[in-house]
Amino acid sequence: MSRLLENDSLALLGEGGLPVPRFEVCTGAEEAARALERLGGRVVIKALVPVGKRGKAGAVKFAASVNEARVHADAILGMEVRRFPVKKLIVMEALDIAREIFCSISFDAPRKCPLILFSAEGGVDVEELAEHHSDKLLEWPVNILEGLKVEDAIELARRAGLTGDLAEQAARAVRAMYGVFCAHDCEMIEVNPLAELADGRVVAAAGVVQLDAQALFRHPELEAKLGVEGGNGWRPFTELEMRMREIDAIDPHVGAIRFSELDGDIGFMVTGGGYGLSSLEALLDEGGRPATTFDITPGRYEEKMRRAVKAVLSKPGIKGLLLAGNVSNFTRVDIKVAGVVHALKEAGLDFEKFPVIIRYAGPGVEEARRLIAEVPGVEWCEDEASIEDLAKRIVARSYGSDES
Amino acid sequence: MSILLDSTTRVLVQGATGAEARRLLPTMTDYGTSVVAGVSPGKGGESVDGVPVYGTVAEALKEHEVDLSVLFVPARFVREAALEAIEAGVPTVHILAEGVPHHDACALLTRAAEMGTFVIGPNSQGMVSPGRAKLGGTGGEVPDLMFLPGPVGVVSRSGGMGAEICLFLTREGIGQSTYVALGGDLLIGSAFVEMLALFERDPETRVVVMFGEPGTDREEEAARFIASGGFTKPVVAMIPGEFWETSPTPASVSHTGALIERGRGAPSGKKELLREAGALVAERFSQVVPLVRQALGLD
Repeated sequence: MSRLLENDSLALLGEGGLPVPRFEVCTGAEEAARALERLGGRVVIKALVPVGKRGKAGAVKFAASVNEARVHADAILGMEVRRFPVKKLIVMEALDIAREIFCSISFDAPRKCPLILFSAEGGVDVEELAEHHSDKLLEWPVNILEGLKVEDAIELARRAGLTGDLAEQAARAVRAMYGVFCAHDCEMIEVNPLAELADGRVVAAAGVVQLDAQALFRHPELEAKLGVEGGNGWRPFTELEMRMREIDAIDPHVGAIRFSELDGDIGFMVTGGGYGLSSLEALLDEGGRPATTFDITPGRYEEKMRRAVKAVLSKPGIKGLLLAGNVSNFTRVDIKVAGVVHALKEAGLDFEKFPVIIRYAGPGVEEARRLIAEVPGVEWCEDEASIEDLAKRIVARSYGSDES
Repeated sequence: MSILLDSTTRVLVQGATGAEARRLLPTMTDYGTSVVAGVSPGKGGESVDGVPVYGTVAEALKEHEVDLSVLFVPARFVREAALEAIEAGVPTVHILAEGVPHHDACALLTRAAEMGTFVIGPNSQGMVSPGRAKLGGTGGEVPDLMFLPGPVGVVSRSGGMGAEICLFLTREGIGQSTYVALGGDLLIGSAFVEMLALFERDPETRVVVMFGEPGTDREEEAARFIASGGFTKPVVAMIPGEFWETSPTPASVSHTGALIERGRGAPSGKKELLREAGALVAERFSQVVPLVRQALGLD
């Protein structure tokens, strides 16, 4: 996942000219209390986690005294927000908010352009806005080659129902966001709320920036901030996922691994975006419980495959292993299989009892077949085996209903 | 007949002196693709596999007429190379690279729309008109194992699944008119609607197989296009991933377009719309070939 934490998101937005509140990052209650003193005595304390909906999880609290800051900081640090344990807090100066505005920028696939979503009534999440107040959610496509002009941004704010100075300030804020969106190759920026304060200023009271993972080569300084805290965007990385990241790192130039651990018991190492997805669906249809998903981009990656297979086999409770991929064009399947065979030999399992089913098609298939034959019991399938054949077979053999 | 590509299509290869092009160019020309020129900045005057190489697209166009440019350039240089071809007036630009930054894809697609350029990709694995011509890596060294000339148009958001569908059709003796891998990215040029419009006009194509994915509204657009009478031949469609709607899992998927956002792009909705439009929807992969046989009247 390429989502920046809120402190980094706000820093980026601030550098881009969007007013943001003063804040500090803390890891303990005493630190939070000191931050409160420095930030003017009234603060909002939030869990610094890589997921949204923190307020609903009770991980956003207002504190107006050193003591309150300690109590809330302690409470939030003990929480888990949508599977992420809270290890850090962001302590932000409290704002006197008069009005909450919603603004996000992302790419719209149908229109192939950046799309600004804007609502003069923010504060709730975008799903709720889209579902219940779609009339108040303005969609504003931008021509990426022309950018967002001053007059267009003002027109946007006015059309959303803002007037006078507020419309102009909101327009400036949206243009600052758009500038950040382009300058840092962002995939998505959301500021919610964009707050109009009692004194008339417009400030980003909360913000999240998601970077384009495919453009990180242009932004090494941001890539360094991503770290592993974001996990897979769903929950923190598991031990097995961390191990697979290490395996992937042995050679960053050969075969990039994508891996997730699931809570099932069939090692599922089926590669290819569409093929993997279709196979996962077939496995679930057959009653299979996948323990992993795995993909690796083409390359000569024997060693990575060896270590990856070993890692998956080490998962407790695993009952079987399916290794497959769509027919390859140039990638030699025997190289992949050599790594697999190496791992299987090292595992020293009885493959009559522990089912391993393999289907690869493409160049090098004869050699692959010969290599597999060196490991008794491993089931090799020819390329006529369909996605469902493989799913049925691994489910039957893993769960002991094999009648063949 | 075929769409977009046949043995008379005059092809320009950008990134012609790179490793990928050097490896794939011979497989393309051996298959019948008419590669007229290559482009590599700073490499003008060289040649690859007998094809003359120019330093810029404009220089190549002074010497050759070109219908289509295929880009073998790495993802980070795609924006510049594609814009060069678009500005030079190349009618069709085919982008193979995986991992093109979204902002780059967006910029080149915006310019292409302004110039009326037809774009396939980015992240397209290739395009094949069986027995006539092929672009990109699809089919590898032995394309005849995977492709056979015939009446089925195949169009897929996934290169791997498109190839797999062609392989299973070929194994059954059912040939293809043209196979196009659209690309799995969030932002791509042409999609199902554009391909269906071309297949509609191609007399050889009698049935189209479309492989979709979760996310975006490309399948929904296709359903509306079919329902409005834009495509009148039988369509067989497969869109996996419905399980995500009820039990979201953090499955690692390499296609940046395969994300269900704000309830949009759910496979169940796509399949429903396609069914209503009269398409034959394969719930499972093993139903694809039988449905094609049925649509062709073979059973």
